[in-house]
Parts: sequence; structure tokens; C-alpha cells
Amino acid sequence: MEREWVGVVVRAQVGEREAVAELVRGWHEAVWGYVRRMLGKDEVADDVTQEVWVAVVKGLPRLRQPEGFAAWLFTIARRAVMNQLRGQYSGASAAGELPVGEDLADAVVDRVDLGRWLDELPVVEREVLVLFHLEDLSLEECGQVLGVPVGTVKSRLFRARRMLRSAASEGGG
Amino acid sequence: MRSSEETLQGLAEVLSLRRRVRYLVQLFGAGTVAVLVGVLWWSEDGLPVRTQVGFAVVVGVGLGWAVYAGWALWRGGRLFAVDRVIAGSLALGFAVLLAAGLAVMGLWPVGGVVVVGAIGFLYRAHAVRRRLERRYLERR
Repeated sequence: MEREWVGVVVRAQVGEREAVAELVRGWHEAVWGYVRRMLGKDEVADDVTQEVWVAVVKGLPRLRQPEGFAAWLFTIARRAVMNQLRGQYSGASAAGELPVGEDLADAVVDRVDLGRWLDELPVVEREVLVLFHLEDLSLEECGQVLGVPVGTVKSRLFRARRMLRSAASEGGG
Repeated sequence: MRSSEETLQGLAEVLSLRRRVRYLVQLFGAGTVAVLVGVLWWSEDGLPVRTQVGFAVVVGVGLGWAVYAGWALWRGGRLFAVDRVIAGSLALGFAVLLAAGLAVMGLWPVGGVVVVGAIGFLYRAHAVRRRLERRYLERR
């Protein structure tokens, strides 16, 4: 996470309401984008994102490491998303330990194309791509958000990219 | 997409310092009254039934208000550092009032323990606030 945000998080923990507003203004779009990608509907994403921010404000004084704000924020967002997807998500299986290919079809993983084919992927694969490619979280942060080791994040990314490439080629993209 | 400003409007209640202070005053105020009246009721012998019923009502209502305020504060999440300092100051103020009342009834050691507890809470709240402010200054 960028250094400037750590100061804002600490000011918010002190109780500066304007710092809380800065956090919301700075991260709202990223949270909404993640929630929207995962849930598929604007109205649902609006409500869930609001719910996420209420949980963030309530829990912020308890956050011990302001440096980990991004991962913590997306962990809360993920929990809210999973509450919505409960049932549908429970059938998803954990990934095996596969290496991340360096020769990925970058043209496919381009943000525009990513957005285009993302909805066709299962939740687990969609989620890791959104966090890593669209929200720019590091592998370690993705691991914290998803509650899995970095190796599992890599294997999920590998599988997700392969599925994305396959979806793109089948769809003529 | 709902804008960040609209989202902030939705957070106004949970962020409101005024609302938190109101519940804190309600919690400590109602608690203080309930305890003082309760101790008075318990320590006085031979009270008429009407007086006892009156005390019971005051204690019941006071405890009800205090529990409701505590529940509302709990639902609102953890207090920010500044809010905790305010809570500590209010707690100390009401603890002194309670201690004065208890001293009149001959229970000054109990009042003393309550005041010491409130001082400890306030001291800790100040320490948390100072630690965060120092952390912020170190990062600048």
C-alpha cells in the first residue's frame, strides 16, 4: 500500500472524520469495482459496498497494522461478497499448487479484455483475477484477503488466466 | 454506481461524534442514578412500600436506559482514539459524582475504586491517542 495512505489510516484511527472521508473517497471505486465484478449487478454492488464501509468504520480502531489497510479492506469486502454468494461459493474447490506461467497471454490479461471475459469465470478464479489485476494487490495481499498461502494464490491465478484465455479464444476475442 | 459522497452520507450516523457522546452520557448518567438509588434502597431499613416501588421503578428505568445506550454504542463499533478520551473524561466525571453519593452513604471505598477505574480508563485512552499521533508524526 502507498505510504501516504498509512498516514490517513492512522489519522482516521485517531478519530479525524475528514481522514475517514479521505479513505472512502480514495478507495470507494476500488471496493465497488471488486464487489461489482463478483456480484454482477450495480444495485447489489451499491448496497454491499455501503455495508462494507459501515464495517470498515466500525472496525478501523481495531486495525493494528495500518500498512495492511488494503488487504484488511478487501478482506471485509470479500466477506460481504461471500455472504451474498453463500451456497454458490461453497462448492468451489481449492486449487492445487501449480506454478504461475510467465508466458501468459498478456493481451488477454489486458484490463479491457479482462473485464470483458471475467463474468464467464467461476467465482474463485474471477476473484483472484480482480484482486491481482484490477485492484493491483500484491500476491501477499491477495493471500491475506483470500485467507490462503501465496502458492495457492499463484496457482489460482495460473488456472484463472488459462480459463480466461480459453474463454477469449472460444468467444473470438 | 453510488458515489463516494453518497456513501459517506450513509455513514453519517455511524461516524457521528454527537450521537456517541449522547449515548455515553446516557450510559454513565443512567448507570450512576440506578446505582445510587439502588444502594439507597438497599441500605435504608423500614421504607414504606410506596417508596420501595418508586425506587424499584427508578432503578429499573435507569438500568434499562444504561443497557440500551451500551448496546447502541456496541453496535456502533469500536471507539476512535479521540472518542475514547471523551468517553474516559465522561466516565471520570460520573465516577466522581457516584463516589460523592456513595461517600454520603458511608461507602467511600467503593466510590474510590470506581474513580480509580475511571482514571485508569482515561489514562489508557490518552496513551492510545498519543501512540497513534506519534506514529502519524513519524510517518510524515
